[in-house]
Amino acid sequence: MLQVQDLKFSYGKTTILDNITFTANPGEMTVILGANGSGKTTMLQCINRLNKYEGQVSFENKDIAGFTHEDYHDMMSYLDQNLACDAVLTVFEVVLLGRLTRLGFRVGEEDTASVENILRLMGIDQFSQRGISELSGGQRQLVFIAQALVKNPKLLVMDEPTSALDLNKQFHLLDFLKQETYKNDYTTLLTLHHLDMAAKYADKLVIINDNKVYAEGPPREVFTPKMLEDVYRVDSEVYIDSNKDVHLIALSSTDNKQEKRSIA
Amino acid sequence: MSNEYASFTRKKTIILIIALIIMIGAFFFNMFTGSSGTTPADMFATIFNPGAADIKTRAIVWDMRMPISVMGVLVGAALGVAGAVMQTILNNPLASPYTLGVSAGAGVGASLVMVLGGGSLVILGRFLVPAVAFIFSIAACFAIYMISKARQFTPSVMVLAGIGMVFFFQAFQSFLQYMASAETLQNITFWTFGSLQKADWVNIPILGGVFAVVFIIFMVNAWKLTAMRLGDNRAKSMGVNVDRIRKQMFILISILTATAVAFVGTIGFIGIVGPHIARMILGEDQRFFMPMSAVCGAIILSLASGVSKILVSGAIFPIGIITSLIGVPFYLILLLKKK
Repeated sequence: MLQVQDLKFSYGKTTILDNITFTANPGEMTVILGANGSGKTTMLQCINRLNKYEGQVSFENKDIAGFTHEDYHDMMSYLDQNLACDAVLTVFEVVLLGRLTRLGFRVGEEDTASVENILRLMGIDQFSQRGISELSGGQRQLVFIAQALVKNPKLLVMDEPTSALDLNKQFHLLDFLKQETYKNDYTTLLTLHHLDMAAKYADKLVIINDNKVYAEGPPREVFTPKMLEDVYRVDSEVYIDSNKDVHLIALSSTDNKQEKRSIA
Repeated sequence: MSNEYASFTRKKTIILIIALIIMIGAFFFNMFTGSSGTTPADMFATIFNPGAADIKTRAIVWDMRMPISVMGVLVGAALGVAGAVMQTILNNPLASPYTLGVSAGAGVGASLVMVLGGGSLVILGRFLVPAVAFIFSIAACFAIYMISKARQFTPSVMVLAGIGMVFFFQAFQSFLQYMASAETLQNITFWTFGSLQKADWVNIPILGGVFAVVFIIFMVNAWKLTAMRLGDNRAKSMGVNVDRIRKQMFILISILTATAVAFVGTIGFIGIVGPHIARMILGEDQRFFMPMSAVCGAIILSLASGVSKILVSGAIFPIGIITSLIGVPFYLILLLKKK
């Protein structure tokens, strides 16, 4: 289990995160939501130990600051938003690097088998020997996701894993991630922009607003028109279908409504 | 697919072995060229059975040709691999010890000794020029290191600090040349052209030893360096202590380059082009990229050294000019042929 307790982070005098507290459980997909600039990426970077923060982040009841750099990154994987890459490496080599903490100078059979397996599971084995810089943004994103999964991490942290994917691939990927999370008991933490996708796939949502946790819980409890108005400043309708899945229809920006009022 | 990766790796190993064979060919080309008229057959006989050869041939082979040829391979390999690692840790294909002022520092050190008359001292002069060149070269690296330290060793700051060093040392160099007598000025100019002529059985083991130790440390860190090509954040997320590796590698590059240029002067082109050719042929898995860069550097410098001896009959043309003259067209052909 990942426990984030009173996490604070500031850039100079600007507070980005203030007393963030939540938990993410193994075998569950926890999705972080929030408007642009709400500090979602900053928070994931704190969990990835890229940012110096105040407060405590624990994994399996141990403060993550207590792990060595190598040990921590041996059990966790992090996918960042940046998809740029000009390295002259093949897709196979890039995915292999995901097992860096376990690689010997000579690549072992277990390593190649793991790479082969994840590429096949994700349906990108046909790219295996192509250069990473030759791929489209979406293909590259899938390769970096494969890289994050190839070491079978206990903690999987992904910042916008679907940002470059078309709608069909988003469904495929999130189905796959959810399945892997259940099967392997990953503690999976991700940010998403599509609220419908978050509602469909999250076991738990953590909503960040005004540098704080606004709400935490399953989508059915958290997705309310009021939350959408407070956090995203949109008028919306939320309904639950016969499968008990939550859907939302965003109607208009509340900013427009205020403008109209002020014009009137 | 595992078989596919295994055959891909095997193919890279074979290409590396072929390049090594070409390097040995380039070494012998460098050995066989010169104005003494010694035939390749005599050379081989003298190499494998020095006792049977006459004194003159033995002196030509063992005291002149062999040190120059061995030094050519060593310096080329040192500059090639130093450029490769520099480009990797700074994430910049234009980075090399030459473009970052390490060689310019050595040039100033050597020029200072010559202007102050230290180069003409009977025994000491022979050691003083490389020693001071080494110290100034390390000083240039130290300055880049300290400036970069204040900014957490970000690649852009290191590159900009290095460019600052180039301008600073070039100005210092110009000042020394302005102050120098006509004879000293000529010596300085020849030193800055670069030359393998000062190779002997004292400086070869020094450079060879430094190269061996540094190269082994580079290879031990091959996977971490490969990960750094995917960007700092990704490498950190894979468990690489990026700042520490960048610092360690920079220190090692500095020592290796400073040792090489202290003995042979500034030879610029190899640290950039050796790695480029290696990257085009084998990619950036550093387990192959680093040795290939060393081999490409050694080939270029050995060929350039050989050509420098036959270009003008009875004279040795400055090697720094040759490396660019034969290296650049070759490099451009590769660049244009790349799919």
